[in-house]
Amino acid sequence: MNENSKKKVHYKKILAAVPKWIILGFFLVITIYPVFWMVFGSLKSTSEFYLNIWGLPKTFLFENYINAWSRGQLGMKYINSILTTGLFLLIVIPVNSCAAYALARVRFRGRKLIYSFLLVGMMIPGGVLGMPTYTVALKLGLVNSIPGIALVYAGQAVSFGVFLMRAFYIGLPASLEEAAIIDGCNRFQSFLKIVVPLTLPGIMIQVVFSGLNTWNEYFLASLMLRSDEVKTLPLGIMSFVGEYSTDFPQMFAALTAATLPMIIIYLIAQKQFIAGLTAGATKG
Amino acid sequence: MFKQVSQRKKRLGSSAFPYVMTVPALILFTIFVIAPFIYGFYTSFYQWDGLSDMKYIGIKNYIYALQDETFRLSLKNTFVYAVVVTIFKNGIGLGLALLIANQIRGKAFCRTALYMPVTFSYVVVGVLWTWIYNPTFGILNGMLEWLGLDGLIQGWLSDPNIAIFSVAWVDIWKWIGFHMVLYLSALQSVPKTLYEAARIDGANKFDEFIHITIPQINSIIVLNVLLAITGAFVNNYNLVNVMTGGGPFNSTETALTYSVKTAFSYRNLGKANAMSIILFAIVFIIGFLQFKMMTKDAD
Amino acid sequence: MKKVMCLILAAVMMAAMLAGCAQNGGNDASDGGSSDGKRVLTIGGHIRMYPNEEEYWQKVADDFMAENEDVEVVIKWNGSFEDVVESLQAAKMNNETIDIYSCGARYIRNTLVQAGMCVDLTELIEPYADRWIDGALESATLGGKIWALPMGSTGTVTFYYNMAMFDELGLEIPQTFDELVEVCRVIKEEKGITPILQQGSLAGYWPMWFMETYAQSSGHQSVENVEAFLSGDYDFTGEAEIQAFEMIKQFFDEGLIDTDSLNTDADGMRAAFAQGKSAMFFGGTWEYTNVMDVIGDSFEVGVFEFPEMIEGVTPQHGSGCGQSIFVPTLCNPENYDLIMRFIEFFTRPENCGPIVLAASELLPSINGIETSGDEFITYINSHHANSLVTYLDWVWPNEINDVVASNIPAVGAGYTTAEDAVQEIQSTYDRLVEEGYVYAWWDEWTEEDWAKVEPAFIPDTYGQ
Repeated sequence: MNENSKKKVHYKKILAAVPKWIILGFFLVITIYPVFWMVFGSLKSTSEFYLNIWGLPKTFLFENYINAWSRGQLGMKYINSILTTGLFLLIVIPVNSCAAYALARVRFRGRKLIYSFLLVGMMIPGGVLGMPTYTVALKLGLVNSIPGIALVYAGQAVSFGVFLMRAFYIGLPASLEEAAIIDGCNRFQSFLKIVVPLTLPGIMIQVVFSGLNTWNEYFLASLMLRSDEVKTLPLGIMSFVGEYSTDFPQMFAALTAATLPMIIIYLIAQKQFIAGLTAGATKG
Repeated sequence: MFKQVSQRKKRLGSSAFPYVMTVPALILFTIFVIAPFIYGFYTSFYQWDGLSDMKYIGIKNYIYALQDETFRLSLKNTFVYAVVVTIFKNGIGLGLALLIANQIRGKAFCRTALYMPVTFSYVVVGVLWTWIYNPTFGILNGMLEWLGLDGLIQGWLSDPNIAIFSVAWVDIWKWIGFHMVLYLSALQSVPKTLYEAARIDGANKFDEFIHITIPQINSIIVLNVLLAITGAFVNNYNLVNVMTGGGPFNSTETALTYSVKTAFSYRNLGKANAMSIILFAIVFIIGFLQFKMMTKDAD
Repeated sequence: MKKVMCLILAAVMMAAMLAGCAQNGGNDASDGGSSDGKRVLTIGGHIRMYPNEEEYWQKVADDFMAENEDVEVVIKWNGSFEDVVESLQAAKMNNETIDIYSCGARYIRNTLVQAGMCVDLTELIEPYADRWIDGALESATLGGKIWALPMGSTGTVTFYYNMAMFDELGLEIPQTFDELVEVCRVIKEEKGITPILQQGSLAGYWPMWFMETYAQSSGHQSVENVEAFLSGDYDFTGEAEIQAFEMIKQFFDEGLIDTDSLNTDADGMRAAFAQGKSAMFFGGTWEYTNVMDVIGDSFEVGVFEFPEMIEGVTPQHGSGCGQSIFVPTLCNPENYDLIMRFIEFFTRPENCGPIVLAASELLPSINGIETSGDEFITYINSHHANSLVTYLDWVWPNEINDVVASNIPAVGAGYTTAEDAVQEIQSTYDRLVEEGYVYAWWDEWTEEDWAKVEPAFIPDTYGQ
């Protein structure tokens, strides 16, 4: 192969990559630009928000953040949201992982039935059932408490989580656990030590997805969390919404502050996707 | 010999194992999902505004629901919406995953960037996209004009024939990153050796995709499709609400948004619950059909 | 990973502890008595929406406590403006005590009174009825009883216009429809824009148009006709109803407004108006402050009344006082003296003034509240205020409102005809009746129902 043809091949390769980057570029623009748009919006004055819709703010009004923080009393709500979401994840991740593992890897009587039963949860329409859910929580004395609402959220995240984790467990080769059992582990130990680390990507997807849902949930929180000491962020964000108008710059400031931790968690979780990948690579 | 016995013992001893593992999930699920659902089912036989006393009226709420023209229209809209959303969320999600799966540089960046819309609050999504679609200062029509494609300029949210697709696109935009991440993680777990073996047998990229990739990631495909379908049927309230509120002329009214309206605006909780149950029955049938069809191989 | 887990674990432990405390702290306010022997008065409502409104409420509570040292006032704001009914439903199930509740008048009229959530205030408020401006308490009256106390400013609807643009083009305020058509023709020719851009993607704003045209086409009988219609004594498919829809269609046919409005929400409308991409819009007086915030110093804004569409029939505008307070049936029955003492204190203009004005300065419902004398307010008070009628959406149920709302732009844009539109309204009403809708519920209430909303006692003396 001489220099020239090598170059040609290289050139061709680049040319072949052009449509790919056009497509990717399109999607990157429509997904990244809104992030900036939200941050820009949070730094504009009310009139600039409407007059200069798509551009950079002319002056950066950082006081929007300070005002939003005090108006929505976001400090306490921030902590409450962290606690609620943290507690929720601590409940739901082990619960779902265990159930999904049993349903994926162990043959037992009633397996299909349990699985179908859990699956039904994904088909139940939301919205109207907020009130009945509140009724149940009330009967159990879970209203107005952070652990209470975390439990409710956990219950609602079971279907998705089990279904997701099961899809991950099913793909694993049986030889892995057999090896562990021969090494003297019992079933649970082999699950914990061998299987769980291999399915970290699945766990992380639950963290970023179900965690996000909990972080942003408004309706049930507005019913269940009734005193200021337990209120979460989405309830604080409502204080920028009037009957006829919304204070968008301040609300965007609050939303930016609320979204940031989610993006950070996603960035951390993303490393685990790769960790899962390299772990998976050694299995074959 | 000895080893085998002890192994069997372990297996017998662990007969309770799967039950112990699934019970916590079952309890949580039953209390916080099934019990409210049954309670909702129960109230669907009553006339109730949520505040005063309930009045038993049998199955009349179901008749009222099915007689309601807007509800029937909203069911039709929901089907259209679900089909569009399911196809595009998965098509684009999988497509993007394949595009960046073998990327070395910029992969983490793409994965982060494309996931961003998932983290957005619906309030932001609503303002952003209604303004992009806006006829007087929106960028979509502006862009089309700039490109000289004046013929494509539409009343994106005002034309009742188009509005539902405009809303569906926002749904797709919001969730493709999520589906892509799911597909990516599945693609990563396909053993490389399978592809190598196929290449030795002379398979091209397309063959590899059909015969190796698809079967290997089948469980994730099933998951993604089911998530998209159920999402479109039972989880589209927030989006439709911030985009159009069901208008123009009910052309974007979905069964879910209409049931929420019936419950909280019209204060007819019994009828709203009857609608929810009807919707549930439809999703249940579709969901299980899809599930059965796509998981032929037992597991 | 381990570190992360440890962190999460620590956070959660803290969470559990804090939440435990919060739970204990959260419940004691609702059982009527506080630890130091003071009587407790609980005020509830949706989360406050206007700047500083929450502080003003707290100040009234503090001042009241300073005057009444035996009382502790607890304020709890929960849920958004729209979630009021669910929020009260949750409070009811949770056996919470709420002595006074502040929310939008429409929710009280359309839902809460009929559901038996409001105490009959007719007798309780009699000694202080003169504190309200004329007609205010009547607007809170249903079936001959007073259920709520309007505590806000009265809103109505008006056209807003870009004064700079009108001046530039030498245009005068139109009074009749023909004059408006002429104004719009000039604007279209000179500026190349659609003159009126409406917040038309929000269905709820269209009925305001219908209220205007129907008031004229029915010969000022709109409210009476609707009441008769809802009682089953009047067919809504007559000439006046059809004409009301066709008048709105004229706006579309003459090109004053187009389907772009269907694609525009409140914020989009304000943005386009502020950018000079539309010259006029038809909106509520309650929007004034927000519109001015958006426009800033760009240009001056003026208002004019909905035009006269039929020669000799003066326009009438929908109107009502948005915010109200009421005494929920969830109140502590021993507290009526306290409740009325607070209401007396609260309705003194110097106390409720800042709260009322926080929303808008237009026609405060309480006598003696000083307004700033702003030009806009003066204009509305001297023009629109002379011909106000109750908002029709405070009379008809939400289902009817939604049908009217979706049919107006459909008729305007030619997707349906005025005849079909009134037919659909009529058939929606028939369906509602079949599903158990009763307009004059007060005629159907049993004695038991009435007993539930009767005050436990009428205090002998209250206030000063």
